[in-house]
Amino acid sequence: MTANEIFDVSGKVAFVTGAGSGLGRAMAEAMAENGANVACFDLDPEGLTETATLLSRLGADVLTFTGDVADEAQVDAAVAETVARFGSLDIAFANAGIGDPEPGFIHEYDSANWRKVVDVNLNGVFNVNRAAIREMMKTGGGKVINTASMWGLAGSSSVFPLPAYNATKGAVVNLTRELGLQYARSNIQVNAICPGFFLTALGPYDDAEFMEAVTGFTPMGRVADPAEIKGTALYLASSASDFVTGTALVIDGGCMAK
Amino acid sequence: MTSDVSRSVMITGAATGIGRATALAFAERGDRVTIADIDARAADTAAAIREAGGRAQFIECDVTDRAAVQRVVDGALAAYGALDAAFNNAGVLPKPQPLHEVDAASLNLILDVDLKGVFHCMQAQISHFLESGGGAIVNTASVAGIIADPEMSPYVAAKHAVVGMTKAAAVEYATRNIRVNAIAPGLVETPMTRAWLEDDAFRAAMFQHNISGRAARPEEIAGTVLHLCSDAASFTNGAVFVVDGGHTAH
Ligand SMILES: NC(=O)c1ccc[n+]([C@@H]2O[C@H](COP(=O)([O-])OP(=O)(O)OC[C@H]3O[C@@H](n4cnc5c(N)ncnc54)[C@H](O)[C@@H]3O)[C@@H](O)[C@H]2O)c1
Ligand SMILES: NC(=O)c1ccc[n+]([C@@H]2O[C@H](COP(=O)([O-])OP(=O)(O)OC[C@H]3O[C@@H](n4cnc5c(N)ncnc54)[C@H](O)[C@@H]3O)[C@@H](O)[C@H]2O)c1
Repeated sequence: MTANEIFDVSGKVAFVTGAGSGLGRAMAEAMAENGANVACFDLDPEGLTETATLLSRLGADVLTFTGDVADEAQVDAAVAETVARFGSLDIAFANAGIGDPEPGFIHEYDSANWRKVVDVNLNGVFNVNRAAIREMMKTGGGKVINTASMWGLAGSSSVFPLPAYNATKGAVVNLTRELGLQYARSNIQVNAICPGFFLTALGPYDDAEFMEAVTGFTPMGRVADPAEIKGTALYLASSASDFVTGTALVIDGGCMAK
Repeated sequence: MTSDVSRSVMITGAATGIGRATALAFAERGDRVTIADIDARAADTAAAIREAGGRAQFIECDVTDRAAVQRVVDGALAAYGALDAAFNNAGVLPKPQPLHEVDAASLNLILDVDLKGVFHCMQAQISHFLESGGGAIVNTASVAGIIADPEMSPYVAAKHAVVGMTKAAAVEYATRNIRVNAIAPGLVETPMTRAWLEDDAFRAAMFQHNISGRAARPEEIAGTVLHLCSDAASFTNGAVFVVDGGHTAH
């Protein structure tokens, strides 16, 4: 295998949730830039349209699905439609996620907010993993990449309190380990990405106080551009990672090393 | 990925195994490779790269010798005018021994090569990177840097230390454009593990709980090193990339 072939995804079919913004858009771009066709799933139709325009300009065939990852019927239908239109599903990014609607301490925490975060961040990942792996079992292999967070490996309250986010991201990390084991002999690699602070719509990055807190917490002293997730996305989507499964890769500028 | 410009890369332990496969992969993408090894057979790796049209040199070096390591960095600069990335991979594996029976010579050898060797390499490389404006380092730890196998205590200690040194250096130089990460391979088919893999009893015991049911080929590790050394990993620092077919997920 040559160095070029190691990172090749040309002709592959990728399904990306949360593709209408931030990291999901960057992951979709990384796939399109390297020759894959991309199915984009997001709640936000406007974000999806923008992403689709970007990807089409890169020469990719693109499908868009407006839907909620917490709704299993919508996820199943989108995956089925992707396979019907593109012929297979080789790479799935379960990336859509939300933060705690009202960050705070647990003794004051609202149950509806808790359930909302669990529904999107955990049940949504379950829905996407199940639908994708069902297809991959038919075709003999694939790559599943779940976006967890460094807050799936550590508590966040030294910076800000996100109990539901931490709980669900920790669950995604361990679900990933379990699915890595379950499909290790089925040629399906299941891995998680644990990002640190990336400049997306997820956090209040326009707030100077927030920005000071997060750059101060990050050894590299800066937040990342969403494009800096592309390399990891390509690594986990390509044969470069064929012996890598059940892992959680930390991309955080050094936060978890300190 | 392959659009990065040609870089000058230093690799230790590239006579055989993971280092050799990775040196070939770096050269294939156009990098200039400086190979440092105690085993003169590593010259063959450099020769193979040159025969394929790439650029590579071999410098004999025992990584336990800090001055010898410095000569490798100087040699990379002399030959290629730069040093942009490094893969500190040289290592030795002791024969299995109960902890209470490990002799001083065996303990010292493992700690000298697997722990201090990596430390020496990082010292020489980071001194240069601080002057040149930055660079990327990847250290070869092991799943033995995360979990333990019985009768491998010096190796487990040294590889846990590699993970620790990686994080220490990553945090220390994070704002100076130096990234330091580690890889943690599971079982890989190389001369280091050949005797084990040829032993039926070992294989049966090893693969009983090893979910992937096989060892990796050295080529399957190279992609991870290439990724971590490239600009595609610009925000990845202090991380340990596990490449073990799921072994440590259980
Ligand atoms: N930005 C960071 O610093 C950071 C750090 C760690 C982890 N993450 C994770 O990365 C992932 C992507 O987040 P981002 O930073 O790009 O944020 P973002 O808000 O920019 O993008 C998230 C996208 O997901 C979509 N989405 C939200 N809920 C959805 C649902 N129920 N169904 C379908 N789509 C839905 C949103 O519409 C949006 O387009 C999330 O899982 C997030 O937790 C982000
Ligand atoms: N093979 C595996 O299963 C496995 C698993 C995890 C980690 N590792 C690690 O991967 C690295 C490479 O090992 P490999 O499996 O390719 O084995 P290998 O024996 O093929 O390669 C090791 C290389 O290091 C060189 N070396 C040994 N001592 C040296 C010294 N003092 N100075 C300079 N060079 C020296 C050897 O000559 C050889 O070229 C090692 O650090 C090893 O601990 C191997």
